[in-house]
Amino acid sequence: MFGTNRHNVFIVIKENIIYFVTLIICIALFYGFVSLGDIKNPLVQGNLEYDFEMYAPMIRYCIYAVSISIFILISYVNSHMFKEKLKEISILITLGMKRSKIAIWYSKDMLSISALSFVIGILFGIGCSYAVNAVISLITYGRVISNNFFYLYSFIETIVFFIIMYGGMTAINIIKVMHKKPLELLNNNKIPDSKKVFPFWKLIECLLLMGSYSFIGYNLKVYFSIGRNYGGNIPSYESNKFQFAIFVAIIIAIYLTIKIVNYLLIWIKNYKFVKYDMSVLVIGKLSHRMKSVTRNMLLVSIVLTLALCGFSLIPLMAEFSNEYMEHRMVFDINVPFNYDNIEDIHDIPDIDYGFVRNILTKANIEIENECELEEYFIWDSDFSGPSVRANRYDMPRLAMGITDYNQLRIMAGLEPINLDFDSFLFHVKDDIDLAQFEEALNGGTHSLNVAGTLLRQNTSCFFVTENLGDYIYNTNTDSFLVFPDEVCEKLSIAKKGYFANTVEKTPYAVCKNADLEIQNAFEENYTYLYDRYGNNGNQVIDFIGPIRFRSIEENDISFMAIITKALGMYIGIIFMLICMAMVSIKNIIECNNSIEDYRVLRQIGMSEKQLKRINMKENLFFYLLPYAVSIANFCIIQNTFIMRFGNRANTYFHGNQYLNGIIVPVIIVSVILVIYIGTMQIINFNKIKNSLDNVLE
Amino acid sequence: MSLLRINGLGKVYGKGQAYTQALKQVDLEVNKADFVAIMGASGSGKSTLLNLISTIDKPTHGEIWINNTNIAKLNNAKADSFRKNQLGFIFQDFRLLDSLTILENIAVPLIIQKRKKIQIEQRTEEVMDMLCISKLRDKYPYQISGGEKQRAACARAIIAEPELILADEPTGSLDSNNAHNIMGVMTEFNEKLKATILMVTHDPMIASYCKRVIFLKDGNIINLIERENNAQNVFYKIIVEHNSKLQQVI
Repeated sequence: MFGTNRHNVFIVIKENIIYFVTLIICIALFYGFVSLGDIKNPLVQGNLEYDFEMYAPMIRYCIYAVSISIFILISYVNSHMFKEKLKEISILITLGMKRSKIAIWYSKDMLSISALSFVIGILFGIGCSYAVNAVISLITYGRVISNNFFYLYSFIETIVFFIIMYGGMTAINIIKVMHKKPLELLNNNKIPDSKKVFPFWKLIECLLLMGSYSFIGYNLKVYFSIGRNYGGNIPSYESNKFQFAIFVAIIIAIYLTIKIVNYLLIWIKNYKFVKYDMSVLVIGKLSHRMKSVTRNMLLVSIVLTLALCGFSLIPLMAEFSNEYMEHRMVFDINVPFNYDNIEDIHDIPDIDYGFVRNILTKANIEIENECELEEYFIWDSDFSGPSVRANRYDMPRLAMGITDYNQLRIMAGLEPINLDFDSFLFHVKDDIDLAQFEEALNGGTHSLNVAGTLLRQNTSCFFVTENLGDYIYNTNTDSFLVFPDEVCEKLSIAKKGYFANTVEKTPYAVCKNADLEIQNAFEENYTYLYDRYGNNGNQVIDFIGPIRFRSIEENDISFMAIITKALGMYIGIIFMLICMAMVSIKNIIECNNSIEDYRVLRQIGMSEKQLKRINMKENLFFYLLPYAVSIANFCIIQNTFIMRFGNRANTYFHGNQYLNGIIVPVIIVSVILVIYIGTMQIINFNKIKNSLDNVLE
Repeated sequence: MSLLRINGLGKVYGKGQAYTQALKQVDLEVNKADFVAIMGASGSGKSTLLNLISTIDKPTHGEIWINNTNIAKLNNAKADSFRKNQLGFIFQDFRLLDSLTILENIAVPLIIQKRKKIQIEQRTEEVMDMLCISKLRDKYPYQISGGEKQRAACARAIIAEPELILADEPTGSLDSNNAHNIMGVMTEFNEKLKATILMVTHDPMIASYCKRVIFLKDGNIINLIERENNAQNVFYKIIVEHNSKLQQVI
C-alpha cells in the first residue's frame, strides 16, 4: 500500500518483482552488448589482421535493434505492473488523497527499484560483457583476448538509455494518475466487454487477410521477376517500395491472423461437441483472453520472427558470404576498370598496367601468372554515357578475345578452349538461373555479324558456364561473348583490367599498402579522367577498383562471418528472451487471475490434475500461436531469400549446408521454447497446487 | 430418512498461541428433502461446518456420514468424486466463470461428470427454463446483473441433481428483492425437486424460508428450531426472537 513502509525498498521490490528482474536482465544484456562496440574494447581497437571498419556500423545497427526490443519489453512489463496498482491508486484518489502525492510516491517506488536493479544489472552486465567478448574473441582469434573490467562509455550509454526509459514511462504513468477519473483507472484493469463484431465485418477481415497474403506473394513474385541481374544492385527506390509494402502487408496479415484465430475459437466453442465437453473450459478461456491480447500477440509474433531470422538467416548469410567469396575471388589479385561514369567513348583508356606490376614487385609480391584483360563493345552503339543512359543500371554485354579468355581459364585451372575460325562462344556465370539461357539458345544455330565479319557458333563448345570469378563481367551483367582476336582488334575497347595469381599468399598489411599505391598511381597516370569525370555532385568517382586481394577478402569475410554469426545468435537470443518473457509474464499473471476459477472448479469436483491440464493447454496455445505465426512469416522471408539467392545457394552449398542452416536453428529455437514452456509450467503448477492446497486444508 | 449425519465433529486450527477451536463437538442430522439454515455470529463456526461437509476441509475429529459414507475419511481423489456427484454449491459471490457463457457455466457440473452431450443439452435447457433464464444463455457473467448471476449459480447447483446443496450466504451480495427471488427459487428446489439444502446465513428473513434453523455459537450448536406449520412471517418472528436472545447472551 502506498504510504506504508515506503522506506523499505524490499517490500517495494517484492510487490514489483517481475519488473525488477526484467530490468536487471535487460540492463545486463544491454551493457554486455554495448560494450562489444565500445571504443576501448580490445576487439574493436584494431588489429593488424583485420579491419574493423565494417564491424562498427553493424554493431551500431544491432544496438539500435536491441535497444528497441528492450524498450518494448520493459514498457510492457511496466504497464502491467502499473495496472496491478491501479485499483489501489483509484481507491486512494476516491478517498481524497492528492494525486500529486500519489504520483510522487509512485515515482519514488519506481526510482528505488530502477536504481537498485541498475546497480545489480551493471554487475551482471560486466559478467555478460566478459562472456560475450570471450566467445567472440575465441572464435575470431582462436584465443580469449583480455577484456577491460569496466567500459565507461558503455556505462554512460546504458545509464542514459535507462534514465530516458525510466523518465518516459514514469511520465506516462504520472499523466494517467493525474488526469484519469478514478472509475477509469478502476476499469483499466478489466477485460473490456468487446463490441459485437458483425459477420459482415468478420468476412471483410477474412478477405483482407487473404488479400494481405496474396499481396505479399504477388509482390515477392514481381520483385524477383523484374528481369534484373541481381548480381548487381537493385535500385534502392525500387527495393524500398517493395520491401516497405511487403513489411506492412506482413504486419497486417499477422494482426488479422490473430483476430481470425479468435473468431475461429468462438466459432468452435459454439459447436455442440465443444460446448458440452471439457474442452469448453480451455477454448472459453482462450477466446476470453484473446480479446485483450491481440496487440500483444502481434508484437510477440514479430519479435519471434526476428529471433528466428537472427538465429538462422544471419549466420546463413555469413556462411553465404564465405562461400560467395570463394566463388567470386578466382584470381589472387583483381584490378578491374569501369567506364560507368565516362561520357565519351574516346575517353576510355587503353591502360598500361606496367605501373601495377612495378608496385607489386616493389612490395615483394611474386606473380605466378597474369592477364591484362581487354573487353570490347560488340557494337559501338552499346556504349552510352551516364547522361544518356535510360537506366543507369543497364549495361551492355561485352566481348573478349580468345587469347585473353584462355589465359584466364589457365589461371583458373581450367583447360583452354579451341575457337574455330570465324566463330564465337557464349560464357555465362555458373551461379545464375541457367535454364533461361539454355532455353533461349536451344535449337538452331546462332550467328553474329560483328565488325563486318559473320561469326558462327563454335562447334566444339558454344555455351560455357565454368566459374572465372565475378570481376571479369561488365557491371550488372552475367555473361560475355568470346571472339577471335582479329575480330576484337576491330572493336572499340570498353574496359581493361588486370588479373593475377601470386606464388605465395600475400600478407594482409602488404596488400593494404599495395591497394593504396595502385589507386594513387592510377590517379597520377590518368589525371584527365579525374579532371573530366572525377566529381559527380558530391560523389567522388573511382575508375579502377574496388581492387581486390585474396588475402584481404579472405580475412575480412571470414572475420565478418564469425562476427555476424555471433551477433546473429546474440540478437536471436535477446529477441527470443524478450518474447518468451512477454508470453510468460502474461501466462503467470493469467494463472494468478484464474486461481479463483480453479478453486471453484476444484470445489465442484474437478481434480487438480484436470485443472493443471487446462492451465497447460491454455499456456501452450499462447506460446505456440505466435510461434506458428512467426514460423509462417519466417518461411515467407526464407522463401524470399531462396528466390533472391536460390541459384547461388544451390551452387555454393550443394543443398545440404543450406538446409542445415535453416533446420538446425529452427530446432534450436524450438528446444529453447520447450525449455521455457517447461519451466513456466512448473511455476504455474506449483502456484495452482499451493492455492488449491489452501482451499483443501 | 436421514441423508446427513454428523457425530462429534470438531475442527482445530493452528498451534500454540494461534490455536483456535472453530468447531467443538457438533452433532447434527439432516433428512432427505430438508431445508436447513445455519445461523450464528461471525466466528461461530458456520462456514467451517459447511467446508467440512463439502470435503474441502478435514475435521480434527468426528464423523460426517452421507449415504452410509464417512466423507471425513475420504482421500483427495474420492473427495473430488464425491463433490462432483453428490454436492451442489451456491456461493455468496456467485463464482461464475467469466470466460464461459451462462449456458456453459450452468453445464459445467455435467461436463465434469462427462455426461452425454445430448443429455447435457436437454438438462441445461430444462434447468434454464425452470429458472426463467433462457434469454441469458449466450451472455457472459459480466454482462448480467447480480440477481441474474445468482439464478445462474442456482441452476449450476441443481443441474446435476445432487444429494445435497450447500449454500454459503447465497443472498449476501443481493438487494432484498433479488434475495427474496433467489429464496423463492431455493424453496422451489426443495419443495418440487425434493432437494436437500443446507444454507449458511446471518439474515433471519432469509432463514425463515427454511424448515429448520440451527444456531451455532463458539463452535457448538446451541439451539435448533423447526418451522413446523408456521407461516413464514411467524417463523421469522420466532427466529428473530431466538437470535435476539442469542445476541443478548453474547
